[in-house]
Parts: sequence; structure tokens; C-alpha cells
Amino acid sequence: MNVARASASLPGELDETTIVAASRGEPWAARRLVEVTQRMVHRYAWRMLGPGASRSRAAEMVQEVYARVFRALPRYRTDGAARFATWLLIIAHRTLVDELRRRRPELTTLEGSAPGRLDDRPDRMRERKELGEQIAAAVHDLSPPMRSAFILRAYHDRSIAEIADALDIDPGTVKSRLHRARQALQAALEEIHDEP
Amino acid sequence: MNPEHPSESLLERSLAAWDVPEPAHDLTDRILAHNADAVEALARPASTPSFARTDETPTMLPTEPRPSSNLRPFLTATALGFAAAAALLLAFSAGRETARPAPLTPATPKVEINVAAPVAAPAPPTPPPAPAAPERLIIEETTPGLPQAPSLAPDSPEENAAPHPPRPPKKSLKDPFVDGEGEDETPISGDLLNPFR
Repeated sequence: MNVARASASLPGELDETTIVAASRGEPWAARRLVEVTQRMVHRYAWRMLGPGASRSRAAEMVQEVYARVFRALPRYRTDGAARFATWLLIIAHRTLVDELRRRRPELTTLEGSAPGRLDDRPDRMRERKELGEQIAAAVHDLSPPMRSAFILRAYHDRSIAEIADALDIDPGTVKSRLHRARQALQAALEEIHDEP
Repeated sequence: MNPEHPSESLLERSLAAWDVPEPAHDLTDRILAHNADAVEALARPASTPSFARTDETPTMLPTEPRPSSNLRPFLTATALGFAAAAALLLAFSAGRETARPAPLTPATPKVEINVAAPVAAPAPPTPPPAPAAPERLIIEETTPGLPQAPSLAPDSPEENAAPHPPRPPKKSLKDPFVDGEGEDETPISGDLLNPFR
């Protein structure tokens, strides 16, 4: 899991001046807010939607997340406990969970997956692509709350306390969910790789 | 990150391999265009000087108190309605309680008054100046709590509301049983009853 967290990007932290200006509706600040944070929100939405998601659907969800962000922005407190990126991920989590509840996700082909790194050898590219598809499918089999906790921890480097705040559960439950998610993912991957 | 490293678990290698495509280059512009109205709405309260002072506590939206003020007429009307209903209920129950001691008195006194009224005023049709007693008696008779005639109970509100209950006895002034002068004029009642004469 450390490997995954090392590869995760951690943008999304804005300075207080930009946040306050954005909450006043100043256009430059609103643009800055989106520019700095949209990649993080997009990555979270992509992984939450799962392997069947298309680029357009992920983009739609990101737009919906920001619609909620701008509505809730006057209520964000810069002196509060939550960092802005965590606050943003809380809104993204709730938006995605609402979407997943509304539409049951359909498992389709993995054609929406990202391409492998271009500097790898072809055999490694193929292996990497397969591993990515397998973990995407395995994560998608988790329940949305467990999936969200796992993604926030593994790819967005959120602490246990921050995930607890985001999911509105206590830290012990977060640890339990992460442990069960890890066990389920390991079992799913071992089952795939043990097959002849 | 090396997939051939023996200490790296399958799970961690898989997690590292799950790449996400970069968002579209115009995603920022699309997000801003999609939320242009929301951003403008944020700018509106900041333009007023009263809200410029409350920037440190932006939890209160200027539009938040308005729904409660819009509800004020509705709440007032609802409260008045409840008050009116309660007043009606109290008045009705009070009327029933005042009529409750009445069943102790029998209904026969009514007959005595009806007979006595024509004697007090034989010729003129003006009613006797004692309206309280007959009204009370009628209320007593038509009270639903009476054990003698429970079937009359639904009619009691109408009879209570009747303005002149002792009128029927007045018509009996012309009745030959009351008027003792004309014993030989008994067909008068027959004339009145017969429409062909």
C-alpha cells in the first residue's frame, strides 16, 4: 500500500486567500480552485466509478462534484479542522456514493482503463495493464463505503481520522473496513493468479 | 515498484498498476462553464456591505432566513385555525355540561307552561315575557344525554338553534280546546283543516 500511496498525487491544497476569494465568487479564484483540485477529484471519481466507467461519465461526475463544492463553499471554514482537499474529497465521496446508489454499476469491458507507461517493455506493459484491470475489478466489487475508504487511503493518502470524517464513521470502523478491504482484494487477486 | 521484487506483494503491485487517465484538457473550462451561475451567486452577497463584514464566518447565507419569513402567514393562519377550533370545542363541551343537570327534571313542566301561556295572554299574539324557561326546557328535552329518548340526540343542536321554540303552542290559541267561549264554533278547526271549504 505504501507503493500506491507513493504514486498518488496530492494536489488540492489551496492557500487561504484563494479559498476566501473563491467563496466570494471571484472568477480568478474559482478558476484556480478548479485547476488545482480537478485532477485529484477526477482520479477519485474514476476509481470509484470502476472499470466500466467512461471518460465522459467521469467528467460528468467531476462537474457534479464541483457544483456541490461551489454551493457549499461559503460554509467551508478555513480555520476548521478539515483540510481543503479533505473537505473536497468528502463532497466527492458523497456525490459518487449518491451516484452509485442511483445507478447500479454495470460491469463491462475494461476498455476505459488507462494505457500503460510508454517506457515499459511490451511484456511488462501487458502485465501491468492486466494487474491494473484486475485490481480495478476487485476494488469495484467492494461495497461503496469500503471502496471509498480504501481509495482514500491507498490513492489519496488520507489519514484514518480524515477518512473517518469523510465517511462520518469512527476511526475504528475505518481501520476495520480497510483491513477487510485489503483481505478481500488479496483473496480476489490470489484467486485470479492461482488459476491455471 | 519493481514487479519482480520478491518482497512486493501482489496487491501492492496491482495497486501501483491501476492507472487513471488524465482528465481532458478542457475539463477546467467545462467545470467553470457548468458552474458559472453558482460562482455568480457566490459573488452576489459579497457585493453588499453588510455581508462584507461577515467574511470570517461565511456559514450564513443571506437567503437562509427568507423561507421562515415566508412561512409566517401560513403559521399565523394555522395558529388562528387551531385557536378557533379549540374555542368551538370548548363552547360545545360547556354547553353539554350546563345541560347535564337537566335530566333530573322531567319533561312534564313544559306542558304546564304551554297551557298556562294562553291563559296569561288570551287575545293578543304577543308572546309572554318569560322566554328563558321554555328555552331551557327545550334544551333539556333535546339533550343527547337524556336516557328517555336517545334517538332525539342528533336533533338537539338544531333545536337549540331554533329562535322561537314556544311558537307552536301559540297556534293552539285558536284551538277549540283552549278557547272556551265558542263551544258552538267547533267547526272552525274543521274549516281550517279542510282546504275545499
